[in-house]
Amino acid sequence: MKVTPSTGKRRSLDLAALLARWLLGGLFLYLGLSKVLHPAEFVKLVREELAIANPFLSSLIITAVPCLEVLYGLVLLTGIARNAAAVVARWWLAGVFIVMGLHKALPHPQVFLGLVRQYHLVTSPILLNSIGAALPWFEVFCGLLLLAGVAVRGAALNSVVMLVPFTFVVLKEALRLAAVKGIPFCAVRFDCGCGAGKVFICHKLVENTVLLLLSVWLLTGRGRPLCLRFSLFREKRVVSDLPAPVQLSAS
Amino acid sequence: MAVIGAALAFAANGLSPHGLELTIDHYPGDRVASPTKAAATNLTNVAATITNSPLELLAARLRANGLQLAESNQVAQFFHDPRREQDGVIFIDARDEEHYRAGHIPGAYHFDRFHAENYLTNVVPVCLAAQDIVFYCNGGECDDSEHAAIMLRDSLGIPKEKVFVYGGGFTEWTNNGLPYELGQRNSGDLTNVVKSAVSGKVEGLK
Repeated sequence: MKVTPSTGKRRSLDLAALLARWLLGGLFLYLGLSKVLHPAEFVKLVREELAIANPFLSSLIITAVPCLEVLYGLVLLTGIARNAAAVVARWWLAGVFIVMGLHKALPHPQVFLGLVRQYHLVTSPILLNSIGAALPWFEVFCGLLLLAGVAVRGAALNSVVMLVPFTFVVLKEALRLAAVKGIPFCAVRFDCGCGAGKVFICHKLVENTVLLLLSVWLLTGRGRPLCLRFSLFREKRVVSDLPAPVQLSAS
Repeated sequence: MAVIGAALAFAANGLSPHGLELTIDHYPGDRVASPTKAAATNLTNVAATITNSPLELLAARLRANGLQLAESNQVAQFFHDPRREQDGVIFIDARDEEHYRAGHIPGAYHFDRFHAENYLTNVVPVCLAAQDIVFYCNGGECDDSEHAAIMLRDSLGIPKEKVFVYGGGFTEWTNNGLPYELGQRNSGDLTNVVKSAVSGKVEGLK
C-alpha cells in the first residue's frame, strides 16, 4: 500500500528544509566574512598549519576561499541553482575531509595521536593507536568517495557518525578548559585534533555544524549530478510506484 | 562500506612511511600512572608506591620512567645556580606556545613536543651541553613535561642523572610568588619580581 505523507507533514518537512538551508547559508556567510574581517587565523592555517609555502598558491587560497564561502552562502539563502549547490556541497565536504585527513596522517601522525589522547576516550594503547592510525585515512577515504560521487549517502552517513561524537568530545573538553582557566567559553582556543591546529572553540563548533548540515543534506539524496555511482548498489524501485501485478486466478 | 573504509585506512597507515606502529605504547607513562600497575611491574616497590601522597605517587611514576622528581626547593636551587647563566642548568617549558608566551620561568627554553620540529634547533644543543635539565609543564595532572623529558632523553642519549621533572610545575612556581617571564625567552618582561625574594638575581637576566 502506498503511503503518502499528509499535507501537514510535508509542509513541516519543507519548512525544516528551508530553515536548514537558511541556517547553512547564514553560517557560510559568517565563515566567509569572519575570514575577511579577521584574516590572521586563516592566514596562519594556510601558511603554517597546512604548510602551503608557495606564496601565489597560499595568497590565492586566502583570497578565494572567503569569497567563495560568502558567495555560496548567498546562493543557499536565495535558493537558486539548488542542484549545483548540492554538488558544490559534496565537493566542499570532500575537500575538507581530504585536506584535513592528509594533514593529520602526514607527516607526523604522532601529533594527532597525542591530540586524540587528550580526550581520554580509551585507555588501551592499541585502541588509541588504531584510532590515531585509521581515522585520518578513513576521512581521506570518505572524502575521495564524495569527490568522485561514489556511495555518496554512505560516505555522508560515515561523516555524520564521525562528526557527532567528535563535536561532542570537543565541546566537553572546551567546557572543561573554560572552567579550569576561568575564561569565557568562546575564548577557549586549543588544538582539537581537527587538522587545523589551534582554533577558537565557537568557530570550530560553527564549522562542525556546517559540515554536519552538509552531510545531512547529502544523506537526503542530493548532490546526484556528476556522480560516478551515486549508490554503490542498484537502487530498488519502490513497489508501490509500480503498476499492480495482474492477479491470475486459478481458473 | 565502513568496514571497507577501515580496512583501507589501516592499509594506508601500514604503507605510509610515516605510519603509526599499532603495537607500540607511545605513552608508556600512562601505564604506570596508577600505583597498582606500578606495583605489579615491580613488586619490591609496592610499599613505596602505594601511598596517598600525590607527590610520592608522582615520584614513583617518574622513577618507573627513569626520571627524577624535582621539588620546589630543589628547583629554586637550580634557578639560583650560577651555572644557569652559561646554560649549565637549563629549564625546559613543555607547554604549548600560548601558555609559554603567557608566562614561563625566566630563561626557560620552550619545547612543545607536539610540534617538536619547531624547537629542536634551539633545544638540542643546549640539552647536550647542559649538566642539569629541568622539565616542567603546568603541574597537577599535566604530564607533558614527563613525555618531553623522555622524548629528548631517549632521542639525544642524555644520561638520566641529568634529567629532572618539576612536579609542581608552573602553577606551583607562580603560587610561590617566584618571578616569571612574559613573551619570548629572555624578553626581559618579568612579573612577580617584587614579590619574589630572588628578584635581585633575576634582574641579571635582562
